[in-house]
Amino acid sequence: MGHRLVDLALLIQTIANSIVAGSIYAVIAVGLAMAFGVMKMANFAHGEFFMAGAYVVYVFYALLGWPFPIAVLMAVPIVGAMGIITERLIFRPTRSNVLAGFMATAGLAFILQVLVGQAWGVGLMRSVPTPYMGAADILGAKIGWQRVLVVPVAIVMLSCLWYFLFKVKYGKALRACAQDPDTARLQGIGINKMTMLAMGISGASAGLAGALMAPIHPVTPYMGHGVILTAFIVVVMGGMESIAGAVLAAVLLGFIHTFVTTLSDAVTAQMVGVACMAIILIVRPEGLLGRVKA
Amino acid sequence: MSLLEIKDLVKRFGGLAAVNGVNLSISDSEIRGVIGPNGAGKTTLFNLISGALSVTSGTITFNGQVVSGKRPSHIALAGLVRTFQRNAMFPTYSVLENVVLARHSQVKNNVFQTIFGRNQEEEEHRERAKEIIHFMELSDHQDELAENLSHGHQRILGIANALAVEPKLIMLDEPVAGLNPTETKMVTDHFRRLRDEWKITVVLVEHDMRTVMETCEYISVINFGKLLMEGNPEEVANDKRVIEAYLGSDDYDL
Amino acid sequence: MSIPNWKPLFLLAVVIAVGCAIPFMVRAYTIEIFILFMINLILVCSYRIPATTGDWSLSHVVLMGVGAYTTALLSKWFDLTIFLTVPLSAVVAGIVGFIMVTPLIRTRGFGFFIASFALGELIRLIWIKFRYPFGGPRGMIGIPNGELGSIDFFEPMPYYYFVMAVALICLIIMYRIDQSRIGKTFTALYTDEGLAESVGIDVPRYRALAFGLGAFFAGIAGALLAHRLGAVDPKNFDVTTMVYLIIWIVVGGTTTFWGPIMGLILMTFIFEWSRPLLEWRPLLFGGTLIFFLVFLPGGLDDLFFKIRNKIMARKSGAGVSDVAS
Repeated sequence: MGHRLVDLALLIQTIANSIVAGSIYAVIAVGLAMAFGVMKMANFAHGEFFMAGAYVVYVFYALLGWPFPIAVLMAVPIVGAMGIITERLIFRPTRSNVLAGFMATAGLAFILQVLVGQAWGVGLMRSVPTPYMGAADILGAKIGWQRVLVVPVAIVMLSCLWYFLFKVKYGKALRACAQDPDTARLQGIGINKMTMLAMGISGASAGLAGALMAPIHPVTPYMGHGVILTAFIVVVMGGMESIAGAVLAAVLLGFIHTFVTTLSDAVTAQMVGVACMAIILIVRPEGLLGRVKA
Repeated sequence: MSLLEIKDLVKRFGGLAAVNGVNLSISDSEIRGVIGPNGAGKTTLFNLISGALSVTSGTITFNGQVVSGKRPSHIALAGLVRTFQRNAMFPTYSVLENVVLARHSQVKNNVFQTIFGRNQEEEEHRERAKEIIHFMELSDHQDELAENLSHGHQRILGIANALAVEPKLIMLDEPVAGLNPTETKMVTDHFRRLRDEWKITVVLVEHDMRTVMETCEYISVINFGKLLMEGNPEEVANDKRVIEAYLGSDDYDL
Repeated sequence: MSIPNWKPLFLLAVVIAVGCAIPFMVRAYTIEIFILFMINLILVCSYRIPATTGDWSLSHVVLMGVGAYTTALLSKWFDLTIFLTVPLSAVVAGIVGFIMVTPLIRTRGFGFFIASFALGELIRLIWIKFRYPFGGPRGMIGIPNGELGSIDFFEPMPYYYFVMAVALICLIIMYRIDQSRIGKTFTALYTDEGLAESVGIDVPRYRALAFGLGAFFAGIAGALLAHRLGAVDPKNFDVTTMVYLIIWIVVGGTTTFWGPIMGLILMTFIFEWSRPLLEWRPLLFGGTLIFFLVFLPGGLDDLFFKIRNKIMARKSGAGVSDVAS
């Protein structure tokens, strides 16, 4: 099988695809990791938030004809608000029990699928026209501009997030809360505000990822299914609550998925991903970058 | 011959040695106290012996069998049973059910016999459980839910649960912590009877010196993860090093 | 003590009598619903076994699928009768369960939940990946319905009685496990793991046993399902199906043996009554799941328990407070 990779162009193509995949995984997974870091909110409906982001672009760009960048930006506040509502109605009352919140958001996933399906149709795949046609030529590898776009957006988004967490007062408070909620409370940080903020950012990042992917991913009410599995693999590999770990694991999984898909097939790639997740959970539950808690 | 033999036991957490080369030998049918000020390493030592923590180095031999590195349940089956500082009982079960459940390890039935059999054996275990409850003077409360018992009785039930395993040695972790004087007496009165009537070796790991002085015949004092001295209660009470150790930790309450 | 307890025996007789009468009172379509209901009954009760040790898994329907695929392979390739495929599928699912749980034991709570999901998904991907022998993404078809002499189980009525007999046997065994020393050990080790270890209960071994037993009975449910549908499809055992199983369990509660059964009965009624809602139904189910987790975390089981306690407290009045002091 390996002889196909000897082809240099194919190798570059695969690496480029890996980077694109890793970037999109990172944008999806940081939100999941952030919500889990603050008060252990495990959001099963994260994939449906991604789906919601794609539908925002479908509505504003494909149906109403707004410019594509504006439509993408619309997804951020809309899906972010969904995250905040989820925190208020589901995660807050089930705060003492991680599993309960996780299972309840599985119920939320059902609800969102039905609502979107009823509003815009279940069976038909919604197609969103590609705003940026043509392909970039990188050292002989051809990648559609729409895919290339994902990489700078991911970098900008992660940089903004980093700036927020380390330089802005609210972001610092959020980190303090993730590390030690009890001490944070003593310092006068409102835990409820922080969990809402975390879920808001979490939803916004999922929405942004979905919005970016809308033109190149089949848009259906059930598109969250595949996403949630990938997102959880990434977050588990990164250590559940570590944002840096999630980014690293996202890039790693992007490479693993893309290379295994190229060498073998997509199902095998999924199997490798799932196996990685199981092995890490069992052998090193704190993840690649996670710290062992005393 | 000693029943429990501890040799050069070390436990490190990161760089910190909580237990740093302890040697201890406890003979059959002793009532032994292990004391020390807060943070001396008593609890760590206790958890090492019972298997709740893994040892860094050294060996623990019980009844001629090396038990260091074994699961807590295996150590219990070997005849070395611990109690807990908190109330060691299954709160939503009755007193009798608690002891029957704790006798689990003595049941020889396998899964299929348990599911399909007629459970003659379980009747016998129920009888033995009643004997233990009677011995611990809990018969009046046999059918009460464990969570409804008084604190003192809950503590005694914890010991009854440990007895259900038919131990040779019972190791008690601060058995009277948080009890009032009446309850304390009620609990400690049982220790001597355990040894005298049932020939069970009793090891009392305690913070409160008064209890230990009154019940134990021989006492080992631990400080800074090491054995400080050993002797009978009088020797310990008059030992300058012991007094200093307790003074230094500012919880001197002799 | 030695007087046989007639109450449960009487109850059992009533259930059997009603169960036998049902096919004569309803249409063939409704018999199918009852068949599915009894298969699900085995499934929910089997899920409760590991759940009593605190191990909520996300791979239970995959283990059911292991039973279904084993049945499909055994009856298509070796022409085995249904009376062999069902127990053999259970054994295979039980063994797969044991193999799966060996690494899983190292995890607890949420970690167990998603790690079991990962391993379950791995099994499902194996079915999808290998067209030979598992049929690939579209699964396998043409599984015989089974027969007893000249009675063809393709007809709903005979299969109904067959499933009823199997379900009764399974439920009685699972009830006996729950009431036995082993079942009590399961709940005890969940209540206090440290105490359980201290009295000589090997906690990992018992957790593995609970998971294996759950897988065994899930395998039976899978085998019965495969014979009825005549087909297995990897999509039938995906996470969506798993969420439905979780809904039954959450609605019912796991405190007693009857909890999951109550949950399944209620949700089956709601499922059948809500047919006119068509595609809106998952919304109803998702909403129910959220409602129970937020407002009734112990499920119906816990609700009944609390109501009964309140009535008892009112009846005995001052007597209760005396005992408590």
